[in-house]
Amino acid sequence: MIKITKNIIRQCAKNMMFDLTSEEVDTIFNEFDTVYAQVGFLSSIKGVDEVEPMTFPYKEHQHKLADDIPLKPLKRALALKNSNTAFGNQIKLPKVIGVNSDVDE
Amino acid sequence: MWMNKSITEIHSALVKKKVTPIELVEECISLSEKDKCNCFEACCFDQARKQAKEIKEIKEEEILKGIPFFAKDNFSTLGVETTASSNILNGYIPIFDASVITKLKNAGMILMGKTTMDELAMGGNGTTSHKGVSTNPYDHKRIIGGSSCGSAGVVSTGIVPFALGSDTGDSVRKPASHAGLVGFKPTWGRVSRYGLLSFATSLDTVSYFTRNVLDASYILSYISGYDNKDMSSSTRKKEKYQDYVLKKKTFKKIGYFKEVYNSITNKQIKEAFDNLLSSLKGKGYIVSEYDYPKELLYALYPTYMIISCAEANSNNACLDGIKYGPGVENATSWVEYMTKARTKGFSELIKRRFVIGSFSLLSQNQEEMFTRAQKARRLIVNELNKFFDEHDYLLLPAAYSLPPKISELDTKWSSKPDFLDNILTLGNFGGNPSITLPLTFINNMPLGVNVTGRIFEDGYVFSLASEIEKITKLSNLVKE
Repeated sequence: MIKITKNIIRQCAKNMMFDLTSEEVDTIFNEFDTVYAQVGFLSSIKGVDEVEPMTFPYKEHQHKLADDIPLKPLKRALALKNSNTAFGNQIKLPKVIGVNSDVDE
Repeated sequence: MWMNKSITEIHSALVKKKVTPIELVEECISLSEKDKCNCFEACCFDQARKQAKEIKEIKEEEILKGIPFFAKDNFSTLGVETTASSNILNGYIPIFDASVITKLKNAGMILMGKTTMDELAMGGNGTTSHKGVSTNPYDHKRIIGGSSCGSAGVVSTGIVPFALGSDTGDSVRKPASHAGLVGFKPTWGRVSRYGLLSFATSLDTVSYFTRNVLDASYILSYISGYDNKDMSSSTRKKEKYQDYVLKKKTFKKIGYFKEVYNSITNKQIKEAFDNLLSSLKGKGYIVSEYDYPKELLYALYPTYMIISCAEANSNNACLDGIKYGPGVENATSWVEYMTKARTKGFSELIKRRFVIGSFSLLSQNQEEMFTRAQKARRLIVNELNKFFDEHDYLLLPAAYSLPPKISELDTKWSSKPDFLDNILTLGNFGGNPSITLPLTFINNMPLGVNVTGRIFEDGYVFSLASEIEKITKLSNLVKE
């Protein structure tokens, strides 16, 4: 496990697509002594690495294909209600593709 | 006054036309306007009035028809704003109902609105909603608990007899203890989660509050069953769960964990629990203590924190803040827009949890953190299943102290080795049905007891809970 640094905390936040203030970074950094101690405790449990990881409480998932059931299309009024920038029958979305975008216009 | 009565009492009055659905809705609205606990997100009173007026007749077998209810704000509700008490979802008006909402509406229940919760369900105190702190009606200086704080509040104060919540660690069963309620978490997979905003997929369970066990058993009969929109939904046959209460179908072997029992320091809690054990023995139950490994009890908290934070990272990655949310000015790319929206939309606590989740999923850490927590979970559940080879029920106090005062809360990752506060996560790790109901009062504050059973034995859990209710004589509690 890598050693925590304030840069790693910022990188983790960046991976999750948000920024942290320096106070927030400090708070998280100070929590990591406890995190390391408890992770260390988990590794010390007898037999912990002799079992398979448990991803769900029990295995009973369904994998069959769902039946094709025709659905009614979304009503225009309901879709428009979801935006506070609706004009007539259209919704104005914020401009998210611009000159610095990594998506081709 | 009808809303402080049980579901079955209100139903009986509706059938006999002593009250009408619209009168119930108006009473509920009037009570909601006097809320002192900060229970509400969005309300849909006009929609409720319209639905109530359309109900002409209620038959004997239509137990839930015409009765108002609230839902925690993480259930998608058609046309009603759903934010999970987070600014990142401000303005989101779902275009569909969660499957459980559909089932309740089909049964004739009337949705009144949405209740406050800890932001994105990540919290246990009921203090991190974007609408502020929700308080305990028994003492407004204390927490009611979370994350399903508003739903606990509306049932506890007699605004409705039933409200939906969700339980990932103990988010219904702990507030139930603090608010003098029945809080039930069904077997994982028993109730569809389609339309429930996910926190930690392997642990999340649709759960709910009522004021007595029989009401809780009726609700499960209506909302359980397979749903092809939820891959974790079980195809096992649903049952008439109320029969376990009405016909007293029960098992007899009760166990409790020796280590937990020995760690109870509050004399009044210990005494109330001892008295309950004696009464159950007197009714023919076989009660014994079990030596659950102490190190696995201490493993509950870190295992829960690592798994839930990591799963939350993935589940909340879709919250881009573009279509709705806090709004962002002057972003020149979608990356910048989303980063600014998420920075503005999440509170500090949520960001802390996400960073820890992200750290545990880094390729260099994943084996030692996330995967190891999943292995610890396997050991915890294996040992729980061993317990259930010898016992039918696990019985424990649902809380080990009074709910903390809001001014004394600490939200940091707990450095104190403790398992009492986290014992109810056992039911989430194993997917077991688990119910909290009132046990006693200490300094005028309610405190609950918890019953957990084997997976898919939800009916038997109701059965023992009903017996306990008869012993304690603490049901239908309302704090007005």
